Amino acid sequence: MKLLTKTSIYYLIFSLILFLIGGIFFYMQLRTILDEEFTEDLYKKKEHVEKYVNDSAKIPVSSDFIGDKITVVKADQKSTEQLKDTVIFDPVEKEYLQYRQLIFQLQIDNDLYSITVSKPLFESEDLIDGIITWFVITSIIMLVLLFFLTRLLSKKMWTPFYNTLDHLQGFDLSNNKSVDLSPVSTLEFKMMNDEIMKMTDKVQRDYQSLKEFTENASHEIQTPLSIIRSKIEVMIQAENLMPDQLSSLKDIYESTHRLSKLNQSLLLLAKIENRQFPETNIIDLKELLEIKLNQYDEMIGYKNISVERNFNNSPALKMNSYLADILFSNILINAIKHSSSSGKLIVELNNNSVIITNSGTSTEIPSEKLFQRFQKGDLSGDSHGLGLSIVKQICMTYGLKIEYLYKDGNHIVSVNF
Amino acid sequence: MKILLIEDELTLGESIFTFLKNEGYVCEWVKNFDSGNEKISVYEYDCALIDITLPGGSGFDIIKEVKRNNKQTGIIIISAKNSLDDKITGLDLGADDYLTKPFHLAELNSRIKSVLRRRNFEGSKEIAFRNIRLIPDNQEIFVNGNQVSLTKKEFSLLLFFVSNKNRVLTKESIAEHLWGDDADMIDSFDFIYSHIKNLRKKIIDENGNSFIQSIYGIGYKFLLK
Repeated sequence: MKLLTKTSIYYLIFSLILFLIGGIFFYMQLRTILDEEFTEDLYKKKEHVEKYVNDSAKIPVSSDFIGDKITVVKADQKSTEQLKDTVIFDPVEKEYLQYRQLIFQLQIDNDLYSITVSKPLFESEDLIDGIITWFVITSIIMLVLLFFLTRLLSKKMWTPFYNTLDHLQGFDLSNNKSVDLSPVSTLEFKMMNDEIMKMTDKVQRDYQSLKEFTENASHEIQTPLSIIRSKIEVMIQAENLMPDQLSSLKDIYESTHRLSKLNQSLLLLAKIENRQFPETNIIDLKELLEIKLNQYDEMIGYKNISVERNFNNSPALKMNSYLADILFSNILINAIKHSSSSGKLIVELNNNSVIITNSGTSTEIPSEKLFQRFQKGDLSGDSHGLGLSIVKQICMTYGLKIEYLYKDGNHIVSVNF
Repeated sequence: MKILLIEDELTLGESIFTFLKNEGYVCEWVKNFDSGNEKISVYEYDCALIDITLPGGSGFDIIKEVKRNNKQTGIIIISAKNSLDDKITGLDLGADDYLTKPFHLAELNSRIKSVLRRRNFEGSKEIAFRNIRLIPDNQEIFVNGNQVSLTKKEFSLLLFFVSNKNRVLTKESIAEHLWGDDADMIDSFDFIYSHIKNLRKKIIDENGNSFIQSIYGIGYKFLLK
């Protein structure tokens, strides 16, 4: 979620809660005030009536005009003063309306009269409704205005941040260009930009020296290896070597050979990790797999493996052609290598996946460790255990998802894109 | 045949130099960019073996110099830089071949011979020994005048042997010659064995004489006295 959206949502939630609480409080306060006002008004009426009776010694007349009502009836017995809410039928509105009544008794000329002063409550309801409506409307307008105002402000405030982010997204280690951020006035952003520039410069320098180191180290290792190798090649030309000498030479030669291959694979792995294969092409997978299968025809024939091509689709991938070649070579060679004799190899090509299945016995390596470095299926073999980690690394570079599964006597490797 | 070796690594240069001299080439060896550039522009060589990383400059510039002077010298790049870019750059500049260190001397020998053959420096495009005649360009072989059909791999293997006659070839070097980067695939030594078996059979069928000798655990030798 975007920062702005998030702030806006929080802002909305909190201001809604605040307005709601404020609104409820306001409403209740308003009600109480009006309520007290009404009751006070009724008591005032009572005072008026008492004053009228005292002054004129007349019995007040009942009045049932619009609004307040005064009813005067003769009372049979004494009762206490009482304040209550009630409903009275209104013949005009043809419905019951809420009233507040104050019933009190007065002694006029030895007669006891019960006087009821009623005041319609709907007036106050109408008042409250009106006030609340306007309150809500003003609140909404304020909310919306504030919402856009904060959005606008946030946008403006965060602009340098987004600029920096843009730069960082465009940052690519492999194309030796440092991040160049324009100066900003906000102190925090200025500090952040300075730190980022310092950091990226350092990363770039480290990356460069690492790149040079791996290349140079490999160069420096390969040369002595090739010297050892060529010297042995010269030595074995001698006619008078004893069998045990020959055997030792053979062992040295084979170990040197393995060391050299290992070095090359590690270098390749480092180069893929360092993203040193930036050029990309559109790779037609159907074509590539067909070429690779033809290339391994000899091996496939030798192990008497039957190949099934399920090319349902002809997807294309955008990646480095050399890496694409290595990726599928390694997977296919691995499949052929671990396939049982006279087994079956199924190459399935779908719109968004390549699935390579081969029959074979289960490996002792747990499947989650299969793609780690130096994991070997058979300990005796020539493999150095880097083939599948190279596969994994290539997949990671291009965001491909590789999965391995052993099911019903079949090894299944799938590459999803 | 005159060959110029431009290589700064002393021990490696030494072994290539000795090897080539033993093979009967006239070989000159220089160890830096300046003398390499000088030699190659002044004298005529049939083939030059050029290292890319040299003290004083890049081997690529020497290739450019050769091409600028319209020399007919065949060029093989020998470099430890196992990078695709270097390979492409080198071949684009007009190099004939590219070998990555570490390589087998037998492989180097075979590549040199192939370059020389392609440039027609050996006069003939045919290789003949005893009663066998090889025509590399057409991938044809005649034993006692009769054509024998060989598979592509068998032919390539035979040519490799012929280029390195009387020399022990290790199984690794043969595998790398035949399968390149895929040499480490499964059972490549078994394939070599079966190819050699077929080769022996096919040549013996016509001739009754096998040239290929196994050398204990290490490899094979093509005997031609």
